[in-house]
Amino acid sequence: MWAVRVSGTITDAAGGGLPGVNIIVKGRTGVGTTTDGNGRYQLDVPNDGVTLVFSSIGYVSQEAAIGTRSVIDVVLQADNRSLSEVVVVGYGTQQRADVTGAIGSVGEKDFNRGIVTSPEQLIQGKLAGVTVTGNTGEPGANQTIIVRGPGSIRSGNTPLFVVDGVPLDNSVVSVGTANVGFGSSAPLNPLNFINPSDIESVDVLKDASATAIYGARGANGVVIITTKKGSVKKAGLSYSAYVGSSTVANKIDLLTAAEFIRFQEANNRPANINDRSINTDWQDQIFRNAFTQNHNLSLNGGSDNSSYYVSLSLMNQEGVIKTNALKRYTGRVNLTQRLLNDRLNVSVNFTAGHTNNRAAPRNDFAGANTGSLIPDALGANPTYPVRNPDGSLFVFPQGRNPLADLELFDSYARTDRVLGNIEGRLKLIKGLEYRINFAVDRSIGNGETQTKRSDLAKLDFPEGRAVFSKNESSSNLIENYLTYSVLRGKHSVEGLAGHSYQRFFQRTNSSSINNFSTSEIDAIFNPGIGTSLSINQNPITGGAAINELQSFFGRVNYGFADKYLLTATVRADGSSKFGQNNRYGVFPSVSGAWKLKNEAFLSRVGFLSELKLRAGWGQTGNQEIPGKITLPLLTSGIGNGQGYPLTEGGITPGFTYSRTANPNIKWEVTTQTNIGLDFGLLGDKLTGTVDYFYKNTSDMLLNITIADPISANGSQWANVDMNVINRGLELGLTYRSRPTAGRFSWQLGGNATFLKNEVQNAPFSFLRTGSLSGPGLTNVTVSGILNGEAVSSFYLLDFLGLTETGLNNFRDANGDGVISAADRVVTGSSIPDLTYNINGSVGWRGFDLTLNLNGVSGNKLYNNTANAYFNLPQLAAGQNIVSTAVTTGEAITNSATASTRFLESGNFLRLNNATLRYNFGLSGINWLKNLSVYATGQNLFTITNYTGFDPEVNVPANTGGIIAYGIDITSYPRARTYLLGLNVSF
Amino acid sequence: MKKIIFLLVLALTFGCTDLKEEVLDEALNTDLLKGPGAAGGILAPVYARMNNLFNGHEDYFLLQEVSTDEAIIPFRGGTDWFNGGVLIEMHQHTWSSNHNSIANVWNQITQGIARAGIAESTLKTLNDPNAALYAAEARGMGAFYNFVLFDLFGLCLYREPASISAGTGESEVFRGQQAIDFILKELDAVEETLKTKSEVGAGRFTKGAIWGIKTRLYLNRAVYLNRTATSFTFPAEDMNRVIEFADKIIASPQYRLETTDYFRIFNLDNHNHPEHIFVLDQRDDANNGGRFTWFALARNHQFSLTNPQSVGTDGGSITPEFWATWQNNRNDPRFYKEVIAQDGSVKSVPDTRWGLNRGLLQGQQYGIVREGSGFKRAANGELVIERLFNRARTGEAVDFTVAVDFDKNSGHSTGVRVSKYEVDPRATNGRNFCRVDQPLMRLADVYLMRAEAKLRKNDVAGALADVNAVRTARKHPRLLTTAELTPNALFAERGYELYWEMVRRTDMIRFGKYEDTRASKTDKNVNRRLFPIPQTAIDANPGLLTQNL
Repeated sequence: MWAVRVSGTITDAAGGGLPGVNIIVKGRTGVGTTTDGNGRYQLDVPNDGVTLVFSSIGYVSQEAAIGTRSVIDVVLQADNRSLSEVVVVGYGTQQRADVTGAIGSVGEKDFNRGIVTSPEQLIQGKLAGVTVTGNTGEPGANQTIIVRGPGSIRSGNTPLFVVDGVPLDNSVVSVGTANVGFGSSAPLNPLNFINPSDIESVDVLKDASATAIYGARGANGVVIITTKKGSVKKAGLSYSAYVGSSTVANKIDLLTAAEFIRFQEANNRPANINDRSINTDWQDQIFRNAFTQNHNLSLNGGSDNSSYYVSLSLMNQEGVIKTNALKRYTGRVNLTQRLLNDRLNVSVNFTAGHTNNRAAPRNDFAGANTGSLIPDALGANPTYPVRNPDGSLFVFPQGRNPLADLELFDSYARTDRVLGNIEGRLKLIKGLEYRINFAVDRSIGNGETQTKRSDLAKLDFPEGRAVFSKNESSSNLIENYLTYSVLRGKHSVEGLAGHSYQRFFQRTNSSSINNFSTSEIDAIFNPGIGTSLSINQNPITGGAAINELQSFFGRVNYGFADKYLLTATVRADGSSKFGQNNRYGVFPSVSGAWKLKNEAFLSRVGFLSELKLRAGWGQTGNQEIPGKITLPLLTSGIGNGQGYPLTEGGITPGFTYSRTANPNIKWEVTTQTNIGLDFGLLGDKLTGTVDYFYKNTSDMLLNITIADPISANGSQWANVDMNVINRGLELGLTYRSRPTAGRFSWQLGGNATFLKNEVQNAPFSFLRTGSLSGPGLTNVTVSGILNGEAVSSFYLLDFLGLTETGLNNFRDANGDGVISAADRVVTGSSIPDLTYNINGSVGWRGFDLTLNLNGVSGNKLYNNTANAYFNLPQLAAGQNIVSTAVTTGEAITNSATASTRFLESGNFLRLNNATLRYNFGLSGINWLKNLSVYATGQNLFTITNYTGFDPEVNVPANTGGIIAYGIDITSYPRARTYLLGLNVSF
Repeated sequence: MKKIIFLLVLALTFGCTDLKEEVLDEALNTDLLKGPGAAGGILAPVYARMNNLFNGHEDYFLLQEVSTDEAIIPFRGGTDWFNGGVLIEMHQHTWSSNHNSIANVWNQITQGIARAGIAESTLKTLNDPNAALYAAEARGMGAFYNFVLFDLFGLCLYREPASISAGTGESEVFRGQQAIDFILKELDAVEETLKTKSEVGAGRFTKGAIWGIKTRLYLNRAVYLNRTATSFTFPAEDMNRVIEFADKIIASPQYRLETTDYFRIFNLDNHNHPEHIFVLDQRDDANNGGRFTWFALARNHQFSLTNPQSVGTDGGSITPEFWATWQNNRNDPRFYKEVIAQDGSVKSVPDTRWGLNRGLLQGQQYGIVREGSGFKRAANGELVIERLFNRARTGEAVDFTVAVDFDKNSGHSTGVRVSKYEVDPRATNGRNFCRVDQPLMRLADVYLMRAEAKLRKNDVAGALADVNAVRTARKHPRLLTTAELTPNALFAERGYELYWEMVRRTDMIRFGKYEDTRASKTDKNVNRRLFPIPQTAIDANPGLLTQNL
């Protein structure tokens, strides 16, 4: 056996050379190459009758036996993508062509690029009907992902995430930042443990016919994440890395020192001017140029009977706020093995991720009195210096130096999460297969937050305080099911039936200690330096919960003559969260598709390459509710209005009904109808999808006021007979040019979602939500749930301008001559009418450039930051505000009453990311398969009229668990990032 | 194949579960009601519901005081205390049925009634020596909560006690005379069983509390029967009943007027003070009280030498109109009690002599100031007394002006402040802890109610004796004369004695002054004498509850 050299040119149908085509020797690992920029290759192969495999994304792979040839030229046919694409559905896969429901898919090639911390960011804007909103700009922040509009008016609108067949619990896995006098912030995204580079594709099941197989968890849609599997074809070692630099994309336009001084002088307030020669930009003092690096190494390969994919990654992402940084390490092993003459197929997916977040002293809900970094910096007097001449921090005569927040505060949250499953598939008889899936998901979150001792005034804990928190959760899954498929003549039938059991366990606790004896060492390392523990200041808290889900499910796919397709699914789900009278819910769906293109009357229509009509109906449930609500609870305690001193001896603990039993609690039901059309034109150069959906959520689970005013509890969880309707139209369109002889190719795509959300038949007239925070805003709400309006509509006084005396002028909406809460009116929705995305790419020889824009319109944002901090009385009191808030004619005593004055348009269009990449031609280099370098810009520009840091924001402002979207309070600013990256594979 | 099916069946069997929810972190405590000490555990929450309701600054206090001339809270500096407009609406009488505090008060009172009913029915099933007494106290408290509900919302709610926890039956609604009859019937049913203050203390519902409620009920009966009348006629038979029940209290050796220092009634050590008839008993760790002084005083008023974070919040002040009622009565010991001179003459004091001034605080304030983690001290170690500045907000001098309104005088330091209740130095933030018993009914009030009844019966001499009995106890340098004792003077006297004790709204309505124009308040709508039933309650049961006008 000796090596021979083979060479040739790979071209497309038009004759153009194709760069970057993978060429491997079939059945041999480690032997292969890729074509250069002109489509040429050469490769040394063993001379024993081997076969070469040519593959490239977007083209149909081809094989060629070498025989005695030394030159092999191949013409690759463009892949009719929309037909051959495999879609991951629940408990299996389907050819895209055979799908009857509404399913959106994004493959690795189309993922968003740049610094991506969690999987949702990969598909932001990519799919019609799927909105992803980063709650803040913090590295690793939670993402609000909503499929086809919010159906529930509680917080539970998050879709179900399924990773390699394992449904995840959406619960929190990390610990948040505890309040040690600088406010508290929420735990980071629980999906941060997944390395985005390991992800092969993300499929989103949108309509009920697709999600009904996940029954009680399907109402909010299902996001299926599939990780990369080993393959002989792609065997090799890959390394990818990037380094990036981020800055705050948009600072808030505060008054400069000169403007500040001018105002204070004009209003005769010289005491507010500290030093005329100083012009401190306090935003620059707390923000920084943040550095990020990411490294990813993967090994991929296999043999005829087995394959493996192994990867390691490390990421170190600095936040644009000083001190904040997120580190992540992940590892993954995915294996498959075929046994018993291919009758048994065993696959294992295992991943472990560690994140370590160092948080900034940031507050999700600015307190009325407590300071916090961002408001401290925004409001800081620009005529104050940062430091004294001796280098020590300048102590503010009024307020607090924001750098003191950074110096005194430390907060860490470390999370370890492992997710593993083993799946077995055993062929029993022809067409019949038994499958078992066993999975474990376990995470441990640990964290501590401290404020050091300090002599600075205006600290809540001048003697120091440390809080220790822990969060542990695990879930186990066992699924057994049978699949059967048969093909008889023109009839094809596939069936599925099975059982699933999943158990979730979660446990949390926290403790704290105050008053440190020393400042030499940190209490987070040795809590023993604390000298004060009291029940009042240092309560030890904790909780634990077990939830179980048991399900029976089945699905039948029937096809006739490759023209008519019918799918029916049913899932019976039982959950321990529901009442004993309604423990099981049954969720059916049915859908069909008609492949019009395969009909004789259309087969000759040349310009039409694909046409399929889909229609479906189904019911799904939502079980994102707190546990224990069906059970009665009698608590015994002395606090919270429970205990009372019945004797001189002390307080007698009292027994109160915290909950009364409601064994009738059942699922919230979402009934959805979907009609869709998939089409391809001009030989599939232009492909598109149109879907209309009508989603009706009923039996709303709410904690509502009990009918009788004299009841053991004022409120109780119950299913309320009302509806939330989401109806809309989704469009997706892509045009792909055929690569021309000049090796120039381009693609332009986009999607748009038109959504109308409406509350109907609510038995209550108004449910308040949208709690503001900040001084003077305790108990102020700006949103509500009202019949005929969208969920979480803004409900506010209508600001008409200023009166002649410079005071607020509000519209007397009810005409009673008095301005009061009764004059509030619905003034817009927090849910966009239109969400859209435009993406394009251009390729020329080894270069390719991709652009990704996304935007929303029709929604409003409430600028809680401006309401709480940017008003004239604050400026008159010596705090800095935005320059736009200095309105001529406004009295300096005018009140910052919540009103439409602080309601702004949420419209924006963002160049989310742009990447320019160069693929090196590697002909003649046998040991290197691929080498490319790229530069990416993220958040390059945003067109918006919004005056806060960024219009993409969603601070949780729920009131009593009722959702509120579109409220912004001193949120973590979003970054603009430039990065340089490298991909190399051997 | 058979083996495989067997395995499948096995797997399914093992997987199956009954899905009964397993609770790990909550003792559902369904057996608690049968354990030892159950009687106390069942009764305690009936009383405990008074927490928040009677010691919160945005609850009953807001409805009874901020709707009157005794309290006003502007949107301070345009930045603080807006709180969704609830405070301004309350003062201007422009609230709606969605007003948050009105809903909170309604919910707390109705919960109190429900707890009373549950306790009454549960206690009857217990074999405990205290069961009968406790059941009677629970039923009496139910009547008390209903009386408060009736005064505020014009209705009483009754639900058969046993049906409350069972979730069966429906509440009945009583208004007007029916409501009065209902309250009286409930009180009469338990009076014999109840103990006296000397037996169980003023923190429990006693015979004296019943007499006090009846005194108040009859005094206001004319109002309760025709809330929106332009003027009220108080029938002599009602006034006789007032005098009858007031006599019982005044004659009882259990109650005595405070004769040394008026403010002792509101001090930290006021537990079972001789003037107390019924109080919210506040002890270590069980409450969240002590908010009224915190609410009024400045952000740079230091409350505690051991808790430097304990300061005021610049919330509520009195109106200029209420200040004006003291015009010729500034020498009243109830007006002001000085601990630290407010003219800068005192430069430092030893720790033992430091304290907050009491009564109404007006003008530039002086006090101790923060330095480092403690307080500024003189060379001799004494606490330095300085002129106070608002370091937390604007830097302005803490100089309480008489003028306060929602327009031009809405800064952080506008309005005269009330420092009536002693602040517990153990509160870490000035508002989270308090051992001062909150008086809900006390002897001087009863004297003044009896005086009012006598005056309305034209027994001016008898009325004068009662008013002056109180003045004498207060060591007032001047007693009233027969000529001076008009209804207006009696109303003013009630303000001097009972300011910030949550009776003002009821008093103003009875004396026809609730609709008067005062600081930034011009509304004259007599329907505002009743609060609207919260919209949430109406929405939940539109068939049962009819909204007030």
